[in-house]
Amino acid sequence: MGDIASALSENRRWAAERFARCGDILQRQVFLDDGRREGLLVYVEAAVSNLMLEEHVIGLSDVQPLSSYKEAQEALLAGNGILFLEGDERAYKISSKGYPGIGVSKAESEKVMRGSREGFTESEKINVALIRKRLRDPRMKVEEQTVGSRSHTMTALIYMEDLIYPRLLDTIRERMDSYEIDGIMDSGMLEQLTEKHWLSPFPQFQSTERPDRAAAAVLEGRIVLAVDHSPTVLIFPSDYNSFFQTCDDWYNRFEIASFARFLRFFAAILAMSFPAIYVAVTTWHTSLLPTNLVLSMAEARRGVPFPSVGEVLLMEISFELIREAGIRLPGPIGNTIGIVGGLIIGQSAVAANVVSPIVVIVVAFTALCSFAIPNEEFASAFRLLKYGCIFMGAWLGLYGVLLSYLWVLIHLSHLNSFGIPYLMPYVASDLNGYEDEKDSLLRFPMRMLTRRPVFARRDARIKLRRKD
Amino acid sequence: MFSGNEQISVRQLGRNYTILLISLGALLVPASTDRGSLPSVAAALLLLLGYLLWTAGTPRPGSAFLKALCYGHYWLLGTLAARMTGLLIQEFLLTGTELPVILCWFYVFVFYNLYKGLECRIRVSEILFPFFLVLLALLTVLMLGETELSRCYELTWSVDAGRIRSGYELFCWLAAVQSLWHLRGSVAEAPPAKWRRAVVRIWAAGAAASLLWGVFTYSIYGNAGRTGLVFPLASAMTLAHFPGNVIGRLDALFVFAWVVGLFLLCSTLFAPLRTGEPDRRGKYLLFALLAASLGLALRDDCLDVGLALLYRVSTPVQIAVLLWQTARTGGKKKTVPAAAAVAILAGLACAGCGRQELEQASIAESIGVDAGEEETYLVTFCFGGTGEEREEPFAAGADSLEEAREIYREYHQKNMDFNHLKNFYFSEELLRSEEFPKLLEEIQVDGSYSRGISAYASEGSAGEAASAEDQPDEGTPVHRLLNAFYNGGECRIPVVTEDGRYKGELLWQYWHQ
Repeated sequence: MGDIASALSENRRWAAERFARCGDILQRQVFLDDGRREGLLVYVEAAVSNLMLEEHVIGLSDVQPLSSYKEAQEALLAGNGILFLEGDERAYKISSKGYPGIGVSKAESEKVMRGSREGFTESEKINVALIRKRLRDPRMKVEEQTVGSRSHTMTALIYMEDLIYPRLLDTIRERMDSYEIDGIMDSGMLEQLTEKHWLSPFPQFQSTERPDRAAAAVLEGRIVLAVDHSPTVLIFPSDYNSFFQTCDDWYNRFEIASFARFLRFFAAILAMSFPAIYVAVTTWHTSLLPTNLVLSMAEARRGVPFPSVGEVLLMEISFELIREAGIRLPGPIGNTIGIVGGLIIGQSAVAANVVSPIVVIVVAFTALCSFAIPNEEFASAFRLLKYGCIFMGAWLGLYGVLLSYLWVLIHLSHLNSFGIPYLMPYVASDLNGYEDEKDSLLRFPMRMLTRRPVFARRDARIKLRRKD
Repeated sequence: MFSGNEQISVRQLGRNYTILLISLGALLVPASTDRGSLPSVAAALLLLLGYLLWTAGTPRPGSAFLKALCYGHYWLLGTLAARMTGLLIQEFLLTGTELPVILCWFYVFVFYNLYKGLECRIRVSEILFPFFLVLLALLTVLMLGETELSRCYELTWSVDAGRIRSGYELFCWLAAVQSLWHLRGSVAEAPPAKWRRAVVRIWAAGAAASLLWGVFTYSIYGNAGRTGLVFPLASAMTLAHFPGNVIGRLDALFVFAWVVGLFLLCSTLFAPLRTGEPDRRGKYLLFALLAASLGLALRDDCLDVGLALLYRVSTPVQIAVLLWQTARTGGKKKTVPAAAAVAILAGLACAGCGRQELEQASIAESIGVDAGEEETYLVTFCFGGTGEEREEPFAAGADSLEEAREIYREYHQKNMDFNHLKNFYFSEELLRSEEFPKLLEEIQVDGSYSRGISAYASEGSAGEAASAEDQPDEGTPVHRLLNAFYNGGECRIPVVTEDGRYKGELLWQYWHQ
């Protein structure tokens, strides 16, 4: 990148090439000196307000001259407006308030102990700017497109040009164009229309409310799909592993992050099968329990009118009802309902001899496990499968539980998200030279995570190297 | 983009076939282990190595006729393995459940696994591999306390025709791994040298595991392993305990892990010899073949007929195919239609469940057996309970423990649960009687009785000793008594005196009876 040219057409060409397919970066022709002098304004749409531009262009106050394209690019991506003038070998940086800040919104569903508190808003433009704020690289492209014959909802595909597989982009475009729908109200609708395995309970798009998560995904060679009016963006391709990752996994030390991940994996298995294991063990395989426990459990069940499976189902459904009611009620009341409802119903059910105390413990523990899964959609799949497991466990004991595991495993083994095996890197990790295993169940130290995951183009996988 | 559902890696293949050999080895080798079985096992493993290396250097069959011959062999092996898996589940996981229910579900899931294609199937085994190994290793470590490695000195090396024949029979089973041959074209980047290395690695892992299972079982049972036990390794697992008695009997957990391996084994054997997902016609054919296999597996004579076919027809045919492929140096491939399919619908609406609610079971804690008068034994069952809820002991005269259980069921309309049985009390009179060996034979083959149950000799009435409120936690495992009986050894049994004290030991020797 050299010095700024005096010819405006040259500068226009530079901006057009440099920021090609960057839908969030706009160019605007302006005229100064009563229309006698032509100029070109280049700016990040959501970072520079129209009002501010008017003020500055009129007065040309608080400007800083720039002599090279490099300076101009950096200033632009930092959220300032850049003005080129015909016949002038300098560009002018027009300072602005910059990118939207934390005042925008807070991520409600993906809270972290460490890291940014910022969350996406309901405006696609601002959401794109929130990602651009973190990735000030002209290679980050933003392709905008409207969807919905009546709603004309704006969508944006955000990706790093040199990291993604071009076929991935073609695939999503094809899938988005393959439907004609009157209106898209949220990213969830688009997600369901563009998924290949649409009967699967497991999501094939990762959803997030966090700009830092989305920016990290772009750096991994994945594509982010933002939809106007939705504070949740979609990330694809996605794999099983990515649903267990949280942002602070990379912000915290690797030992703690690994421990947390291990807990989440364990929690996911138990969220699906713990009640089923309880039913299987108490009705089929009492041999697995210590004698004293069996005797006290048998004692506790005396007088309970339902079989074990009935007790478990009753409590599980009660818990789901409490949860559903808690979501629909306003914040503080919802929380209260969740805690108080659980306690009161559990205790009353035990006191009335409707269920045995151990079942309340089992159901509460299962609920805790399901909450430990970071992605709500993903956790819902396990919650749903739990009922199938309970029936199988009641019918065929541990054999039934094993069959349930096999069903889920076979299903997941066959699933893929835009061609990436869903169970990566636990299967087929040779596709990326076993590098993805370093950021899976265990998170290796940051210094060892030198390569991007399998989503990135094969020739662009190095992401970290030591400077010599 | 990456996943064409037809290319697999050498690592995936290695994991799949290693699980296959370990599971099969655990199923078969311990069952054939006795003092002189070393030559048989060695012969089987050497034959297998030679056979695998031979297939590694020979082009895989391309003609449909030869493929059909190979598939028929795997189908037969898969059917036999499925039947054995069903019996294992019935004996150790789902006592009281009908075999058709167990096998129908098993086949449904095998079909589902195959329906999704080669890549999916291989991924399933790849992901289960570490869980399978960790569980097996953990449970094996927990049993180490029961092994007596000095028994290995008893192993002899005498080669005769019988040993060679049993070695060949074992080879016929282990040669299931031959299906590797047909997957060669589906493996990404597998030059001949790499392929050979992979084959040898798979064999080495399987051979090591098979030998280990053999030695391990022998060091637990001695020469008694073959006496009446269909699944010696699973029976031995009743001896495993977590420190602190956190978990009771672990055999259910072990069988759980083992069934994973056997499921993968059957999936591999029933898999079509082609890459990718089967097409619609292929899926119907696969369904029909599995239904036919289920029909055969449900027959009582399945193992007798199947084994005869395996040893005398199917395996020699495979060797002939290999010879043909070796001799053949190219030429026009013949296309012969694949084997005809027989469609037998699998009915899943089978009844029969053996589960019971906790409060409906009588949890037996100790059993006292005295010499009977008219009947052979006087059996007293004593039950666990908390406080006043403790059930009264039940005594019955019977010719066997099973008959005494039946009498209890008739009186109380309840099943007895022996999963928490801690102690057996035998009266000294019974221990010296000629009826005692019959009782031991029953305990040996009945899967309800863990081999870790403690045995005591009672000076007075064994029934009264068993009824005492305070029961000891540690004694001589009945496993030692059984070993002494079957191996012609001796065993020391703690004695309970007439006034209820645990004092001294009694030396029990079978050949002195």
